[in-house]
Amino acid sequence: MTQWGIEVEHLRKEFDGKPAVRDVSFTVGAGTLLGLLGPNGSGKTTIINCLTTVLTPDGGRLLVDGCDVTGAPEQVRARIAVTGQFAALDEVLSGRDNLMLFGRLLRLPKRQARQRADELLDRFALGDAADKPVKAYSGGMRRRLDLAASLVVPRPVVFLDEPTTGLDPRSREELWQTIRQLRDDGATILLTSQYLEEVDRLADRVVVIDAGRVIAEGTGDELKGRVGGQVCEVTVPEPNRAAAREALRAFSGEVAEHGEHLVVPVSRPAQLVEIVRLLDDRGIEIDDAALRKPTLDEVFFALTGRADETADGDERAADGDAGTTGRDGERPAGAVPAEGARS
Amino acid sequence: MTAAAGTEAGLGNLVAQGAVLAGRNLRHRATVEMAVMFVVFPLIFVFGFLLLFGRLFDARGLDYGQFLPPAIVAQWMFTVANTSGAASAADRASGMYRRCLVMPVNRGAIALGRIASEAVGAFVAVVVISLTGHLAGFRFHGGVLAACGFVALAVAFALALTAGTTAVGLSSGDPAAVATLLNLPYLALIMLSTAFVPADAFPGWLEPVIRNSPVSVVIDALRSLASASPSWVEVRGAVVWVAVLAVVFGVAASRVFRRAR
Amino acid sequence: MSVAAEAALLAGRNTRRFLRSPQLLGDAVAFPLILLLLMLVMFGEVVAGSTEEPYIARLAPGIVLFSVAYSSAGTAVAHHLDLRGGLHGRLRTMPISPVSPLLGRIGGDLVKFTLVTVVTVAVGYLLGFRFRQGAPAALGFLLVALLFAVIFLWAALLVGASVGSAESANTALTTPVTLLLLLSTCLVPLSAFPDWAQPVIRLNPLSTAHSALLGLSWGGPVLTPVLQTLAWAAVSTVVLAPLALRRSMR
Repeated sequence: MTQWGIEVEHLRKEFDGKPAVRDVSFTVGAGTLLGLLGPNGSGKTTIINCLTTVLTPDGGRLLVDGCDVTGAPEQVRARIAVTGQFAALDEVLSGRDNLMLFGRLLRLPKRQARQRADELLDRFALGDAADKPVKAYSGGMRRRLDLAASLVVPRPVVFLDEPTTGLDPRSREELWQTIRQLRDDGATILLTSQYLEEVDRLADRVVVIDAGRVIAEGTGDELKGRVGGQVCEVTVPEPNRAAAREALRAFSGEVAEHGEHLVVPVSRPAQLVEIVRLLDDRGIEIDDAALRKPTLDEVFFALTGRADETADGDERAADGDAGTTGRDGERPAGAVPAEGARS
Repeated sequence: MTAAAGTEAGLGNLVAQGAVLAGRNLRHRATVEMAVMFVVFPLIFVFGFLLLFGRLFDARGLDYGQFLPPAIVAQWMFTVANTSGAASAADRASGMYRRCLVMPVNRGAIALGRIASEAVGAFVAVVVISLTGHLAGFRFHGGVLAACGFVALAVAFALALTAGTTAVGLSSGDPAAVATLLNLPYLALIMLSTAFVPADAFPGWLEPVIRNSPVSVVIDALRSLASASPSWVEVRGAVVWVAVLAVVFGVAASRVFRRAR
Repeated sequence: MSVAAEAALLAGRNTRRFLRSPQLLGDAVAFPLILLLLMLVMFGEVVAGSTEEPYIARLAPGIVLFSVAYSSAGTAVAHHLDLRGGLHGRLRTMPISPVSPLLGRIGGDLVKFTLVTVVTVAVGYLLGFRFRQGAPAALGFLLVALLFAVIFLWAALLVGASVGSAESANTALTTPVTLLLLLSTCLVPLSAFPDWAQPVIRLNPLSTAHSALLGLSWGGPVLTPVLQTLAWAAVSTVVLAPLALRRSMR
């Protein structure tokens, strides 16, 4: 076994001349979990697609479990498990039949494929729905089955592309538990996410990317330190907002405005009091002031010095996906949300 | 954790994985809806058109009961191909296709699975339509060998068309759009052929086009193979057309296949 | 708001959606035209010998009726997606009448059918189709086409509310509609069918409506086929409409 489960050196990939990934390098230690954090369109999925042999990189060197992705893609495919953003399952077949299908495709004998399917159904708490067609599954069940399907044969390297997008908190917690267990079993895991909290809870190390570039790297704590750990959110009613903003700017250079909220990074909790006092001194009336953990928006604001303009729209796009997979009993046919989008 | 010993290379994987995928494709077709379609559609078309035109063509001295079933066979081969194209699009849309790509699945097995399942579907359709046609007076007059040739030509035609619809399906990835898109050329090609009406019943200026349409050539060869004296010249013409279509569509499909994700 | 105003509002939404989607528009308008041309060259010569009127006089009304009946599949799919997509659920939580969404769907579709009829007739004119019975008869032609549409609309709403997928909503209607076309007087005259089949062919709603349209354009009996078509529409409304309503409300 090599020291690194995954090595990415100077990866470049463009689509029709537009760079999607520009010179990205990182490594994932064998048996560790790396979180790849970034907004939609930042290049996360492209990196995963290059590493899983779906796309051919335009430049750079990629090694998965010591195998060269461009030189020996067959070797790579025999070592990886991939769970994509959208549950790639056969809607018509039952959960058990899906797992058996993938087992048989991986050349397991029929009996063994069945046995393995039953084991996985059990482990992923899908036993009750084993014989129902996948189209009747809820979003959380789909994601669990999708993950199970990629693990029909255990693999040393696991790719999880936004595995919890659109899941309700309980399903998310269950999936996190499963992912931790996978890592405890010794797998090298690359997980992409839009949620700071998710990477924070799961990852040994975090790589933050934006617009196809690595903009930060480190452990969760190191990153939070760079963001400032906490932000102060001040709620100001309209006639006072401009004045409040001006006042806060004197306090810190990075003032973000979200509707009626003004957000400032703070390094010490005591700064909350200082902010309130500053505003009070200037006679600016406020509705509320509170400390909270930074959101992904604010991480990007702190790391890139600009607000993440795409995050809002992407959040909505992700919610649209959530509508198809997140609600119990909803079927995720592409046609339905598309219809909704048109009207 | 253990890595799987084998990789995807080798004939063994191609055949075994192709068989698994073909079985899966066929299970998609094994629905009540499909079964009804397979039985009801031939009945509707054979007897519907027979009622509609039987008398008119009898007056012109044409045995429509013998004339029609090969056309329904060709029409159904289009349906097999179009359904397959939509299924490929659905596999791309659902991510099934991509999942196969990241698994150690032999690249050829994905294509082989499609070919095998469509061949089975086409074969069943030819048999059902021939039996339905039998009720309407359709007979194989040319013996067992010619009847086998009839089935083989029809299935080969379906597979050649399937290569084309697969290319369309994989490059689009939207099953509904693919179904609509493929419907138009299908309707035009089948109606502007000798399927339902002999070439001389078309306006004079259109006759050469009708006669030389690949669909007409294949249907006329099927009719010839069902007749008492099969014409090998006609059959050869159809075989050449099917081969040309298979090569052109096959190249297109493999190009798309290499690019589609 | 009155039921009429609510229905008009929803009909407006459905119509706008239809007019803004090139694919829906193409399906509804291009499909009949292609069919008209193809069938004319295919069957024109075969059928022409057996009738007194030119084939286009028979075919154009036939295609109008077929496209109206065939596009009921689109109605079924749209209704199915409305129910599945939750639009219906939202409308039901609003203070509007429960029948308004259905009436809105029907209203929007009647606009669509009017468009289909006008375009098909216009192209038919280029190919030799004529209204020989005057302007009031031409208006009657449109009204009978819309009356005929009612028969299939209720069926479409029932199918859309009953089936499990958009795809099966489509096949559940296109298959019987195609069969009805083949077994009607839209493509060949009644006398071309075997004697034993003629009584059934004659009662096919496509045949009754077709006789009425033929009478209102080329010439021939009008009153009886119109009454027969009216009877079909009445039967459909009495039998299918309550079922469609009940299924849609579930």
